[in-house]
Amino acid sequence: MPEHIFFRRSRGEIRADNRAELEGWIDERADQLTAQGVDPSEARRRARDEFGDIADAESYALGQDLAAERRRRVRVWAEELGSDLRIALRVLARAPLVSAVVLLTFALGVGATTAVFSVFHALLLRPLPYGDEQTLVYLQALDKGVIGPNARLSVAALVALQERSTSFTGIAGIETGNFVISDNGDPEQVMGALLGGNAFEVLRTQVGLGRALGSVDATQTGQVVILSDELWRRRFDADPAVVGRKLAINDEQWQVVGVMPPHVRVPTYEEAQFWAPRNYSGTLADANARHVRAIRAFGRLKPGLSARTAQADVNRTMRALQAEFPRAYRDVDARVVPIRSAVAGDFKMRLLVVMSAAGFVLLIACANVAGMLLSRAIARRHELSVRIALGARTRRLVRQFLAEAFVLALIGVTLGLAIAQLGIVVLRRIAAPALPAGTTFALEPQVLLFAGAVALTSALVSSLFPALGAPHSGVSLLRYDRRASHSRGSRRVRLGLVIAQLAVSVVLLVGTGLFLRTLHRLSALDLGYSTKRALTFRLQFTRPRTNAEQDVFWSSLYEQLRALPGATAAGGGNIPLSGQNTTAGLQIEGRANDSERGPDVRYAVASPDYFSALGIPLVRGRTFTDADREGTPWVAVISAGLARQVWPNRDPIGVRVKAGEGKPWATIVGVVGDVRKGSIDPAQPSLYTAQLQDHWPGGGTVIMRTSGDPVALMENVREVVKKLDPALPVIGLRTLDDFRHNSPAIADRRLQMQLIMIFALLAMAVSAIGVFGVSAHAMEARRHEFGIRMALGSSPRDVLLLSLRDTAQVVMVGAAIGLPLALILAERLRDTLHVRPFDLSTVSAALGTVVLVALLASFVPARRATLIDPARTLRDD
Amino acid sequence: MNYHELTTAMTTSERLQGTVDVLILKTLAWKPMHGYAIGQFLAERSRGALTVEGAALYQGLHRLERKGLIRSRWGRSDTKRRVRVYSLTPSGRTQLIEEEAGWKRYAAAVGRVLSLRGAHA
Repeated sequence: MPEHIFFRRSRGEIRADNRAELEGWIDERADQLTAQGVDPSEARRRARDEFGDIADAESYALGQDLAAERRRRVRVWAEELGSDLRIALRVLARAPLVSAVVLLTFALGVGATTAVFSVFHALLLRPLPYGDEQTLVYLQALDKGVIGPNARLSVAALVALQERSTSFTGIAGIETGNFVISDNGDPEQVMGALLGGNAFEVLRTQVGLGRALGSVDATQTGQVVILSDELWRRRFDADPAVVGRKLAINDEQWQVVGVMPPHVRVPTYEEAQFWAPRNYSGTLADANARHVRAIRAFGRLKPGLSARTAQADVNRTMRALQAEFPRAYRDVDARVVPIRSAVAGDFKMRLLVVMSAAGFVLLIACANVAGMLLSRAIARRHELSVRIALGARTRRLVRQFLAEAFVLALIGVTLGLAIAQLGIVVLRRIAAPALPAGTTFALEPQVLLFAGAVALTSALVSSLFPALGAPHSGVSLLRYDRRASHSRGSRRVRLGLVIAQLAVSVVLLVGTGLFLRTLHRLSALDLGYSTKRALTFRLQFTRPRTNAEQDVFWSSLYEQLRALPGATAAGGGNIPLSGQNTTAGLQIEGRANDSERGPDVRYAVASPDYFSALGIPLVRGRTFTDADREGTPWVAVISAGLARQVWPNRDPIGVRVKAGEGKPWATIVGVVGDVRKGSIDPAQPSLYTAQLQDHWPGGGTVIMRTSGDPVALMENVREVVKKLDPALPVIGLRTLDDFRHNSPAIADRRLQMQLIMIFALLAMAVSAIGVFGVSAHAMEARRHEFGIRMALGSSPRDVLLLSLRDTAQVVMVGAAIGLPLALILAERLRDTLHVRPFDLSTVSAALGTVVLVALLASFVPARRATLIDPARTLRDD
Repeated sequence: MNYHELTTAMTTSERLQGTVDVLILKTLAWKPMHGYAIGQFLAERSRGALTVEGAALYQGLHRLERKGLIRSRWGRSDTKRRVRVYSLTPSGRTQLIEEEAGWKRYAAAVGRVLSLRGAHA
């Protein structure tokens, strides 16, 4: 070892050394002069004079020596670090299989957390593509105080807010519609956003190509259009020349004026494929301006104003409107929401749930790493004691631990990132439907940073455990003998770690179980219609059709669908399935007056075969027939729920009702079963009118019931539609089962369940490794004891049971900690879970799994204990 | 640092330092010595023409040690005093060879210029 490693000199030591050198130098010259006969004191004076400026020389030498010392220390530090790292790697390489398994679990933890974080980052941390996020707010409309499907603002409310509120530099309205683009390829339905003229100004967002929309465009609705990047690439091959071209949208020629950059999407309508202007001025005079609510509003706060101030301002405006027009505004309110919450708010909780699950896996993995390091530290006690006895400083030993943590972190982060990348690829596949359209996530710099921080922190925490049990003085340790190294203290720490692992596994397993139960319940809920063996699709007319044309179209469509082999019924309307229902205030003949609004009903148009195709049971009266057509008195069918609500004590058949202004009175002819839109929403009171009387200009949804596999008929359905009108796109053709299982309520929970289940399985596997490790360790420690027991007549079976009993105790403690924790966490997920947190079957299944896995994991080492040869064991000692 | 930089691009004090440094290196190339002995050696070998002040020598020794060209250890002088004995490191030896060559080229160049005839009118 080079000498300098032992010589660290302090500033004072350097100064003293230099002083001694200098004095010796002068003394020697003085000696020489004395020898030449000069008087000693005179000789010394002359020697000093000859030497020159002593103070200057000393300070110069000190500067040089300090610089040299610093450099030496850096070099020594680097050399020691190098050897620390080498030792760390050697330690890991000593039991390569165990190291590999433990490191892999660690990397899994890091990778899982990182993958989930990448989504978290994309939704909640990455800057939004709108200027100055802090001052942009969403004016969330509330319908009867809740955010329901009808929670939008009317044109009149938007204009009133724009005119009366004083907190905003601008408020922009955005609504969406479905449009059919019919040139450049097959006709295709896309969602388009219609925006007020000030929208680009309020959002402070820029176009990628061409120009933005301005007030000049807002004198018309549509006619000019800005394409989303996605639409531009998909349908126009990213051709910049598309700007300025005409494009057929809903059979009209709209001019393309721009293309948005890839990351900019319509806020809260991320799936919208184009941006077009909306003219509000004409619609304000319309009778529906106050009643039709379709707009989402975004406001730009004036500089220095808080959202709270703006909220008070908005409340004032809404109160005033409610006083002026009680009927139109009674249930309408608006909440000022930061744009970030509006865009990603719903996802925060869900992401936190999944993120916690991933974090738990990481925690368990850390416990394994800590366990491994702990047992290695015990094995190295002797080595450490010798080093301490030889004079290694505590600081040096601590650094050894840190170096090991660093090596761990490095391996963890390298492998972890590979796993995270894999996870991201999987997440992109399974999470896409549950995330806002166009959400991209990847291993971005911030995500990499996160992974590094997570790995390093975890590694440090893990290596802290053995460091805590590290020897404090060498001498005391040298006295320990080998057997004593399996000390009671370290065993307790390892047991604690395993208990923690099992507890966390219980939490994750219970979570998985609760989600599974919830999904099962949601899928089993009675929707009021049958999803077995049925197809659904939507059609949207690209050009306006007369009522007569519509009647002919629908009648022949249903007829031809029914004629397909295996089809039993075909009908249509505008449907309970998709989110787009129309709500209307019901008016009842003889009862309604303007001050009292009737109940809100879901209002749908249905063909005669609609109810039988969907499997909605008829409760009373009749459904529609082909005779209910234009020219005959209007008829209506209501849901059983509506009948109960409005006519609790009498038969509603024969009563005349209407839904909406400008429609004729319709006589109720039948009552049908209730249907739910989604799986968890309560059934809405519904009113149906006949498709041949109440014409629905835009298009409709078709339901077809089959006797065999509905999938087999899909191609035939496409052909039928194509024969009737080649320009019509068939939208969303799928089986009803498929539709149901991919409904947002189910899809969201399924995704969370899948992720939590993955993490629970990981956790269980990682914990099993921990249990295995600790059992093997215990077995090793008790080899002597077992040997004696067997020598004294215990059977191998007794010894096996003894070891398994230990494991069972550990599992019990883990469960006792994990179960209450799981229940507390489940309680917090009440909104997501639709089962009671303490679900006996879930809890017992989770506990059973943990017990079983833990016992299996400890079985191998326990079995090995029974193979001890007592004679040999005793001889060994 | 090679000799040409040392003689052309440096300030006077740096050039003086360079001169002291090369003299120290050359001296230590003979054998390890302590500071005072180096001064004595230089004076003797130059027949009294080169007397380097103790302070300059002392500074030079610490400078060269920082540069890693020489190293020191504690030892005893002939007079049995405790002194710091310096010796050349391998890189010091290399440096000396380079500087010697440079000095010789420099001295020859100066000599050539000074031996030009006819400059004194």
